[in-house]
Amino acid sequence: MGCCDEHNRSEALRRAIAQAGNGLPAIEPGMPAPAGTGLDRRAFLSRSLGLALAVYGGSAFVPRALEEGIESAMAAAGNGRVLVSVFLDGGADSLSMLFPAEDARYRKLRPRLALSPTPESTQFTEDPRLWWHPTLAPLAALHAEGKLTVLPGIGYTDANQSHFTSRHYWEVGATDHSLATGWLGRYLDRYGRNDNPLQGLSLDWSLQPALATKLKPVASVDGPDRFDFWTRGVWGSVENRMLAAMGGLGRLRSRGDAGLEQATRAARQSHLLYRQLAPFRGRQNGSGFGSPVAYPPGDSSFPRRLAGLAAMLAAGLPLRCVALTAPGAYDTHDNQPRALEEGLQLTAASLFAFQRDLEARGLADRVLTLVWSEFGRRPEENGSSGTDHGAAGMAFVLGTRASGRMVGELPDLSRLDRHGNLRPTSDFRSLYRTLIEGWLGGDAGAVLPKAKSFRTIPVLR
Amino acid sequence: MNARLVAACAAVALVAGASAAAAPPRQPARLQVTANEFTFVLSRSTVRSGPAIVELVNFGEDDHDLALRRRAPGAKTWRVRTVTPGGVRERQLRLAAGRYQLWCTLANHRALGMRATLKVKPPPKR
Amino acid sequence: MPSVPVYRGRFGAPEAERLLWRAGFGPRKGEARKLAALGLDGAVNLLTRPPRERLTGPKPRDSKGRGLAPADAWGHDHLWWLDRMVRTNRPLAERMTLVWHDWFATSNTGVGSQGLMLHQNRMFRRHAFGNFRNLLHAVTADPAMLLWLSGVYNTKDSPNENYARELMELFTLGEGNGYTERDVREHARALTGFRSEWKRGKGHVNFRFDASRHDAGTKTIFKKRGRYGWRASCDLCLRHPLHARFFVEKLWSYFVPTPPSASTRAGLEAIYKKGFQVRPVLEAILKHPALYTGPRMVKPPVVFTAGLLRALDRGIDTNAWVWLGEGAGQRLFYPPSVAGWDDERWLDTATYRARWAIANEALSHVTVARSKKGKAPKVPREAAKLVESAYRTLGNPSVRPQSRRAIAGFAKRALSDARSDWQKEEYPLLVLNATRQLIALSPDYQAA
Repeated sequence: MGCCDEHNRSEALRRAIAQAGNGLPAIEPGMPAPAGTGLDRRAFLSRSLGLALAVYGGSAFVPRALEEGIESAMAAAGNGRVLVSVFLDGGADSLSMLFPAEDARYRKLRPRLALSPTPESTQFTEDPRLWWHPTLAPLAALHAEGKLTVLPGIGYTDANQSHFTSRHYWEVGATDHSLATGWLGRYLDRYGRNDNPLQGLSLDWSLQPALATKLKPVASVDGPDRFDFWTRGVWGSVENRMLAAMGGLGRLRSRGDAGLEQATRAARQSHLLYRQLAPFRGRQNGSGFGSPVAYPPGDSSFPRRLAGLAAMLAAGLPLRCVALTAPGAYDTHDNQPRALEEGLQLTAASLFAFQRDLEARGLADRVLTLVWSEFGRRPEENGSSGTDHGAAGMAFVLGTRASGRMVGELPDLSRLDRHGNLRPTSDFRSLYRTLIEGWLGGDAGAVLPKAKSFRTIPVLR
Repeated sequence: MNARLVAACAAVALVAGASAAAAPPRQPARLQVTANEFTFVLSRSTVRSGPAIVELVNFGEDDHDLALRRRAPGAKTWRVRTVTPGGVRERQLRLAAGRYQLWCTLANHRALGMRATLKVKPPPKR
Repeated sequence: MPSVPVYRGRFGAPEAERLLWRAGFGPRKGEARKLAALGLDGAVNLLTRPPRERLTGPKPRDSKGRGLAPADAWGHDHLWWLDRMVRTNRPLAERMTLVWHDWFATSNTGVGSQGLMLHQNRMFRRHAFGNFRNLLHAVTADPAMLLWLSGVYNTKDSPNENYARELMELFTLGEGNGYTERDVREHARALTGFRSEWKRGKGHVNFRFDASRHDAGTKTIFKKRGRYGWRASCDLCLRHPLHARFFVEKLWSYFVPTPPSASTRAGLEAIYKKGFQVRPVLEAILKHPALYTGPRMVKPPVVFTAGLLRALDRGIDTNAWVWLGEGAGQRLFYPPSVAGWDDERWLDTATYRARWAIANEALSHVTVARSKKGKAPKVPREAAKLVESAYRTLGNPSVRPQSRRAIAGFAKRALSDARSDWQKEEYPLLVLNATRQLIALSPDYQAA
C-alpha cells in the first residue's frame, strides 16, 4: 500500500511561511533548562521579550520623528472607525441562507435541496416568507437586535460566472479586469498614512486583494500572534537583540538610493509591525487574547483571527481596513447541504462571538463587518445535490452602526435572467460607495470608478 | 516531518518491491495528471512498469479525484483521493505493463469527459 | 552616431559582485575577486560569451531525496530552474532566460502543462543572447504562448485580439505607444491560423500553422497595407519607429533601476537597430557607468534565493523553495499576469518575512548548535571574530560601514548579555546564527 502525500497550495504556503509562527522551537539539545529559572521556555521567552522591548523602545538610536509618527498614527486612528471584510469563498448560496420556504417556485427549482422550517427555525422578521438557515441562528439573533443589515440580492448586472473574475470585480470595486488595486487599497492610498502598515491588515498568509495599494504600506499577517521571525539556533535575549537589530538596520539612511530604501523600508515596517503585534505573540488559540467571550473551539484560524483582531483593537492599534476569509467551501456543486452547514455554522458562530467581544470591550461602535461572496448560486439545483454558479447573492453588514434592515428584497424567482440566475436587487458598488462615504469617511469618487452612478443605500444607521 | 526519514522509508519500499538484483534502486516513474472541468491531461501518455508516483493536480474550480485500473480481468483499482481546487496529492503505486484507464469518480465527471488512458511499457530487456 | 559611455572607474571585487548580482545570481565564494581580475571588458565578455554549459555541484533532489521530475511533479519545475541558477557556469544565460520569462510572461495557470512551460523555457534559453526578431517569432509560435494568449483560438472566422494586443502593448511598443485599436484588430487578423488539436488525456497537441484558418486578406497595419501573415505582423512591430526605444529601455530596466539618459538611449538604439541583436546591447548596458555608480536594485526573490545557495555552496535538496518562493512573491512559471512581475513591489511585510524564512532555510545546513551529546562546535568567543566568521559564511558580501556597525553592535551587546557560565558557553553559537541571518536580511544584501 503506497502512502499518500498531499497538500493544498495555500496550506503548504501557510505551513512554510508560518513554520516560524507555529510555536517556538524546541529547546536546543544540550541547553540547560532555561538557566535553572524554573520557567518553561515559553514563559522564559515572553518575559525576556517584554524586557527587550522596553530596552529597545528607550534606546537612543531610534529617530524620534519615526516614533512620533507611529504614536500620531495610533492617536489618529486608534479610536477611528474600522471596516472588516469577510469573504465567503466560492459563491455562497443565498437561497439557503434565507430560504423562501413556502414559495412553490423554490420547491420546484430545488426538489432535493429546498429547505423546510423546523420547530427551532427562525423566521426573517422583515419578510415573513423567508426563514434563516438553521446554522445562521446567531445572525438571526443579531438581526433581531438591529445589528445586522441583510442584502439578499446583491450583485451586478450580467454577472461573470467565473469565480476568479467575479471575485476580482468585488475586490477591486468595479467590473474592470485591469484594475490592480483593491477598493480598500485605493481608499488607503487616498486617505491612509505613509507610516502605518496596520491601516490595511490582511489576516491571511498573503495580502487580501481588496487591500492591495499602490502607494501606502499595508500588512499581511496570518494572525496577530503569528507574525514572528523564527530563526534556527537563536533564542532568548539573543533573539530579542537580533530583532531589535533588524529594526536598527531598517532605520539606516539610504541616501536617496531607491533600491536600498525599499529594502530598508521593508525591514523597518516589518519590525514596526512585529513590535505592534508584540502583545499577541506566544499565546494559544483565542483564549490568550484576553477575550471576554468564548469563541468557537477547534483549530480553525477564523475564530482565532477574529479574537486576535478584537484584542488588537482593544490594544489601540491603528487599524482601518481589515480583510480575511471565512471558513467553509461555498462552491457547492455537490453535497451542498453538508458543505454549507459546516461553513456557515463556524462562520456565524465566530462572527457572533466577535460582535459580543467588541461589545464587551466597548469597541462595538467603531467596527463594522462586511460579509460577502463573489456571487450567489443558480436557483435551479443540478443533478448532484448541488447548485452551479449564479449571479446575485447574499451580503451582510454587521455592527451596532449597521441599519439592521433588509436592503433590496429577495430577487423574484419568477423573473430569472437568461442564464436562469437571480437578478440583483442591490449593487455591490452602491454598498462600497455607502461604506466609504458613510463609514470610513471620504470621497467615494476618488476611490471607486464611476462612484456617482451608484446610489447610496441604507445599510448604515 | 524528518525529510531524511521519509526518504529512507521510500527507498526501503522500493527495494522491497524490486527484484533482488544488486542494481541501484531505480527512480520510480512519474506521472502528473492535471484535472480541470472536465478534462484530465497526463504529463505523458506512456510510462514504464514498476514503481510509480502518480500526482493529481487540480487546476479547476471543483473537487476532483482519480481512479486508475489496468484493462485486465480482476485488476486492482488504484485511487488518488479527492483534491480540492488548487490542491495536489500524490500516490505511490506499482504499475504492471498494459493499458490503464483513468477517470474521475466524482459525480458525473467521467461522463463529462474526465477519463484518459495510459500505456505502461514493460521494462527494456537487458 | 551617439555612443554609449563605458565605466572607467575601479573594477574591483565590489563592482564585480554587483555585476554578478545584476547579470546573474550573485557570486560563489571567491568568484567576485576572480571576475574582477579579468577587468570590466573581460568580465562582461565572460558573462555574455560564456563557455559551454556545465552544471557543477550536487544534483538536485526533492525533500524526499528523489530526483526531480520537472514535467511530472508539482513544484519540480521551480526546483529544476532554481537548480540551474545555482549550479550554472553561464549565469547571464539563466538570467536572460528569466528576463524573457518576465518579458513574455506566461503562466502555467493558463497553460496547464509543465511540459509546455519547460519547452518554452528551453526556447528562451536558446535565445538568451540571440536575435530579438528570432525570439519574437519563436515566442509567437510557442505552444505555451499560443494557449496563454489564445493564439490557437484566433481564426479568420472569429479573430481573437489577445496576443495582438500584448504583442504591441507589452512585447514590442508599450501601452498606447504608436498604435490604434484598429492596428490591434488588423494584427489579430494577420496572426490568425495557429491551431492545435485537443486529444483526450493528452491535452493540446500538434501545434502548427494551418493556412486554411488564416485570414489571407489585405490588412492595414500602421497605415501600411499588405497581405500580412504572422511573421510580417511581428516584423512590422520590430520596424515600428518606436520599437527600438521601447526595447532598449525595457532591457535596460532589468539591469539598471534609473532610466538611461537620452544620449545613452540613442546609442543603445543605434546598436540594436543594426539587426535586433541582443548581445551587443546587453554588453553596452553591462559596461555602462550607471550600473556601477547608480543606486541599487532589490534582488528578485529567486535571485536572492539562488544567490544565497551559491554563496553557501548548497544544492537543491528541499521542496521548501517552491512555497517560500511563492511566499516571497516569485513562483517560477507562474508570473502574476502577462505583464510579469512588478519589480517595484517585491518587498512588503509579508514578503520580507518570507525572505527571512528563505535565509533561515538556506542557512539551516550551517546552523551551529550543540550535538545531542551536548558537545558544542568550536566558534570564536569574541564579537568581532564571530561577526567576521558570519560574513565568511556568506562569502564576504559587501555591506556598508553603517550596516556593519549595526550588526557588530548587535553581536557585542548580545554576547555581553551572557552572565552565567552556561550562557557564556552557549551565546556565541546563538550570536553566530543570528549574525548570519541579519547579514542576509540587511538592506545591503537585499539590494545589490
